[in-house]
Amino acid sequence: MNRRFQGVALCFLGFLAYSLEAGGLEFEEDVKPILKTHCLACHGDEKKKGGLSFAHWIDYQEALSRDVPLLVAGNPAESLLIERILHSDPQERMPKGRDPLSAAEISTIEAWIEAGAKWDDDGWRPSPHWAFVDPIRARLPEVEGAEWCRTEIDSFVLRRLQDLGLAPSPEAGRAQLVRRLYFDLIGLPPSVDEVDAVVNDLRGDAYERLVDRLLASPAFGEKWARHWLDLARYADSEGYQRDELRNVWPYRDWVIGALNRDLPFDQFTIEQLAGDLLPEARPDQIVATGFHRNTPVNLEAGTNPDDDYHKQIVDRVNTTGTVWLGLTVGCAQCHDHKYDPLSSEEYYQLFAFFNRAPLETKQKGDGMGSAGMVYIGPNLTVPMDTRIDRRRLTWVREQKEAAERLEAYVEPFWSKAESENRKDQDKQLRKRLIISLKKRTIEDYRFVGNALLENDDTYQRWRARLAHAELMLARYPVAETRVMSDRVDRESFVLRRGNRESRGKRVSPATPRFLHGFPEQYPKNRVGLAKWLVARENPLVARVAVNRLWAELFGRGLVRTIDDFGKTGEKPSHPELLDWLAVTFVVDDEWSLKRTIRRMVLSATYRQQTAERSLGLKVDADNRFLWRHSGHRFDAELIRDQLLSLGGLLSDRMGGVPAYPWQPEGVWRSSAGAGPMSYPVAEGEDGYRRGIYTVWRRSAHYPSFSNFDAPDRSLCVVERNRSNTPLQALTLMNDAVYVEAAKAFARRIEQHASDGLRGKLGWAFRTALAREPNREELQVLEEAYLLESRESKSFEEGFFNVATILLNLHETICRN
Amino acid sequence: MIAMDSKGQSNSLELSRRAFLSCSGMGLGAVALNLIAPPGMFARGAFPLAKPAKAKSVIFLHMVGAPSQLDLFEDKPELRRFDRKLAPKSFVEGKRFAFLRGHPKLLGSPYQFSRFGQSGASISELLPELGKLSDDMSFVRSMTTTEFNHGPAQLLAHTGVNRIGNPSLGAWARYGLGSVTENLPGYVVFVSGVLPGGGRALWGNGFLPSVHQGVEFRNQGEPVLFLNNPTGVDRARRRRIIDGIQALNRSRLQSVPDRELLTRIEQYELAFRMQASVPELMDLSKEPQSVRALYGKGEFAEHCLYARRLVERGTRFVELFNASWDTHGNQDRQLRAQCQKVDQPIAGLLTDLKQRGLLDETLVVWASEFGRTPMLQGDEAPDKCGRDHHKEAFTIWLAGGGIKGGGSYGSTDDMGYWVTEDPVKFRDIHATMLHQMGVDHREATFRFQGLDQRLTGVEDDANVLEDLLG
Repeated sequence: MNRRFQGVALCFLGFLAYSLEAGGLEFEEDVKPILKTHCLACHGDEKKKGGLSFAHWIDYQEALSRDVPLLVAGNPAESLLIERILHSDPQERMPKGRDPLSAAEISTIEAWIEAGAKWDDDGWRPSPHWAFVDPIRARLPEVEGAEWCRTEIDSFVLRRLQDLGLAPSPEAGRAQLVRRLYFDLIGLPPSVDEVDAVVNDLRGDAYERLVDRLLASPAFGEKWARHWLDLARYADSEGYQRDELRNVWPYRDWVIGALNRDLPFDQFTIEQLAGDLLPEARPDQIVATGFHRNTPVNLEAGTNPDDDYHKQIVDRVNTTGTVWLGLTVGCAQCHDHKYDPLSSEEYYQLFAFFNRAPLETKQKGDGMGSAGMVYIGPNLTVPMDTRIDRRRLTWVREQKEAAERLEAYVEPFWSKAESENRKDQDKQLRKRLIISLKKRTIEDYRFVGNALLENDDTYQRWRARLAHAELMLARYPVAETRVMSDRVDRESFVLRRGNRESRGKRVSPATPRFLHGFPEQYPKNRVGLAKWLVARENPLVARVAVNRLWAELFGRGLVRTIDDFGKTGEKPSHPELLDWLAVTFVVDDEWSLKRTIRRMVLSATYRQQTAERSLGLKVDADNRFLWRHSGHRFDAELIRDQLLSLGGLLSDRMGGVPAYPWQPEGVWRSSAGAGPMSYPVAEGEDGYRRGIYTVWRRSAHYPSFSNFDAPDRSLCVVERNRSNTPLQALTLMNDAVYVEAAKAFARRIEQHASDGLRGKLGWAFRTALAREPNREELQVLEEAYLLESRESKSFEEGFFNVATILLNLHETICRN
Repeated sequence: MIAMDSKGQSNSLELSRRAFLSCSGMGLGAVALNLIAPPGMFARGAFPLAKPAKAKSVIFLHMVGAPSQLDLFEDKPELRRFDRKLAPKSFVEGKRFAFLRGHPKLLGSPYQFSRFGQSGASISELLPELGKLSDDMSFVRSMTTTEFNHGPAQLLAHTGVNRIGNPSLGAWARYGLGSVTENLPGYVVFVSGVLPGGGRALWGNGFLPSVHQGVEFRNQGEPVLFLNNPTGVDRARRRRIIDGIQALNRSRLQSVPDRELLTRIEQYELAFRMQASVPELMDLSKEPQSVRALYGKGEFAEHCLYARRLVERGTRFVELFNASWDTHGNQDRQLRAQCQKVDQPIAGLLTDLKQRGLLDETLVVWASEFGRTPMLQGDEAPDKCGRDHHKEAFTIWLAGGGIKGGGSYGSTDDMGYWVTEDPVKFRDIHATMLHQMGVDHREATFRFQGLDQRLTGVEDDANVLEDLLG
């Protein structure tokens, strides 16, 4: 039907409608049955296609408030509903793929719209999604056998187990608990002496004392920062093709420091999201905003800076949604969220909070018509430790000297070439040659030198010296770090289908309507957003935060979909416990992460054995209800820290520029479009720093880490995989770092002052696993030692086999 | 759908035995089971197989930097007629290019094109060997992409998304279909020349477990990182050490049943086997001279031969990256050199696969991240000129694995600027590749960030190119 004809038909229908109205039209009796017959199959409670439903008044209200409203009361001709019912294209006509409505039915709906489209409130409301309702601290459940319970947590867990007819597992042995706590709290293995000291501590609060000592250790921050840096997608390089190194490690050190001094989570949040906008912001608060400057930056030639900017803002919105709301807000980038009540408009209102940052890249302005990109984003100069500043100064001097010598050497050749003005000179070279003496940069000299003096040894020597100085300077970078800044006033728009080119309605900063209100006194910028996120009224933030802590300690969250508390996420296994923890975290513990972790590890639930029992397997094979403690493989960095520690090699120096431990050659080989990228292997102590300090280059990260599921940190990652592969076996056996650790461990075993071979082997076993070997296990080690010593005719080699075996055990790289 | 959980929770042996018997291959630790199962038993992976697979393996040839389709596969006499004349305004107005600025001229191809085979496909003089096999290949002449920078475009071509962080199609295939070989990785990558700009993310596992990442076989040093034993440890001693590890692991298994531990035991055995099977794979000395001659010489030729040997041994997905096709200037010299490097090796690979009866079950895809402009870039001199990146239209081809020979899909205008018929995006190619492997791309999902993620995106706009299927 063409438009005009349709218009005529509508007039006619309008007339009919009038007569119907005169006859008295009842929504419930006349209209609702039509909707029911034709629409509800696809647009009802069950399917709600396109987010549209005709089931209840409340759905109708929703349909009226869409970008393009369902209908215009009093004006059928302008109503989408009518347009779709009458559409000439059967693909577009509703109901899709079924018979069209009869003329009488259509006229009834027309008449209903004409008459004002009244739909009485039927009182029906969907029950609100659990996570969007404020958590309430439930009363502790009553349980039998309450003597098992050590903390409130245990009452909730025990009650759930009893409902299922299960009993909790007995407490693990003291030594095993010591190992568990060491790894969970500081990420390092306890020495035999440390285990013995706690096991032999007969005071009633020995366990609590250990927990408090570990929480106070500076290594605590190094361990827990790892999880946060995955969320923050912290890396030392830009990402994409060029993937040059960037300076944002002071942010990494800020996270470690903030965790160590137990900065309350609300403040931790505000400083990272908006430290730069706080009144009289301190430098450290500005450093904290590195959180959102960790987004990848594309410096490939020809990139559109606006495109790249847009991707960064999108990433900041989505990451904020994941980390503080536990919601997949990114779904609303292209369309209204299919499951959670977040509209596309609300997505871009969140976007507007972030849409004030300066561009981070621009095309090189060297007048050469180059499409090359340079980084221009905001940095903050931070005080550096003097040792690094001194080294840096040395190389600054060296660079200056090398550059001056190179320039002086090239100068005469330059003048000669310029005056010759030969026809066969390359166009680009010619362009450079005519640059006046005052305007020449070191880059120009290098370009001209490379062109004219390719085979000149003296030139190549200076060039190499300069390149080396520059490389070393990259290792001792200028004391700058990336930070946020709101410098630019930009308008924000709803972008249809997420397309930057397709602007819809203009929007200003606002928070989603289905959550708590945004107080008027809050500024409409990142400070306001951060405060809104950590407001007491936010039903999500505390639940999401404690759930993440729980997942780190227990292997899985109480809500297993750590990144999705929305309607498609899983429901909590222990809803009352989650809420109790969330309220306690905010109210009693005043957002203290350490106190919350302490509560968790003091529980009897945490102290259970890992061993499986047949009844538990039958009822709850996945251990969702915590009838035992779940073990799991350590993360990549922890494996490195542990193995170096067992070899006595691990450095305890904290912070500073990224470390370059040994890695195989060629991992950092240059890529198309990027400059040569050499990897200056650290010497001395720097080669043995904790894994968290290892330089993280996105396109080629440290191979032993990537083999153990470390993500490339291009995106926010809430939970790492824990795969189990042959490459992991090869890594532990053959990576030169781990071979060296095994050799060092072997020397420690050989030199240990225990009595006899068995004494040494027993000590080695206890060092690796914090438990006594049984007879069979000791025998295996003894035979391995004797066999190798005989074959290689060397005791040393025998100990090397023993050390390698211990470092490769599944139990060694797992927390039990 | 399949929500595979890989967070490494311990599970009882009893459970694992049950999973073994039911042979579902789904759910918890399907991958782990994959690797410890007897040969053949777990050849299937996490995706439901829609139909019998046409292609058991894939060889993906990525020409990094983007070869000029206008000088290799798209004969455009009209463009030649306007050689070095100003481009129509519509080519540049409101358009953005990586390098081109102002009002550029057009560049007609300086190369002779000839028609080959029964299909009469027109192929340039730069690829004489490949031309002879055109009846085995199907061309997609209407490829488009949304990215005109190498990094994002390569990521899009491999992961379906223009950012890093998502699994590459090889990882999806490895995850979804499992591995056939017990002694070699299921997804292997070779790189000739410099690394592609997209970096290792191009064969990364993204949010899938790392067992699915592409394993790069290196040209220098040990072929697989950490494959070689350290000095002082020979194979016999390695065995002694592994025996010790396994004895203690097994003893632990007696007291603490744990499926991850069982898997770990198997992985050490697989690692040990790999230490023998990888060198065996890389040893070309037993290949007859006649076969070596098929492939010709050079690094890329060797990679092609390795690809066949891997496919023969059951590796699911092999990808060869070949660098340096980014011909902004000096195109003539560079393009000739590049074509010489790949022409005979690829023809040799197709021929070799064919004569062994492997081509029917091996899907070979030749692609780049985008194409090159009909416009001339840089100096006009014939030996200096080049072409810029072009995302609106370019050409790729597929062969084997149930793809119709001699086919051609889509077309471009007389200048080769726009697609005029049947535009194709990488998602369609991905959907088609999965289809040939027996998987419906809509069923190939993995839950991450609250969504059932797919290689072909959640938007539902990918189509299998039915016309190309034999």
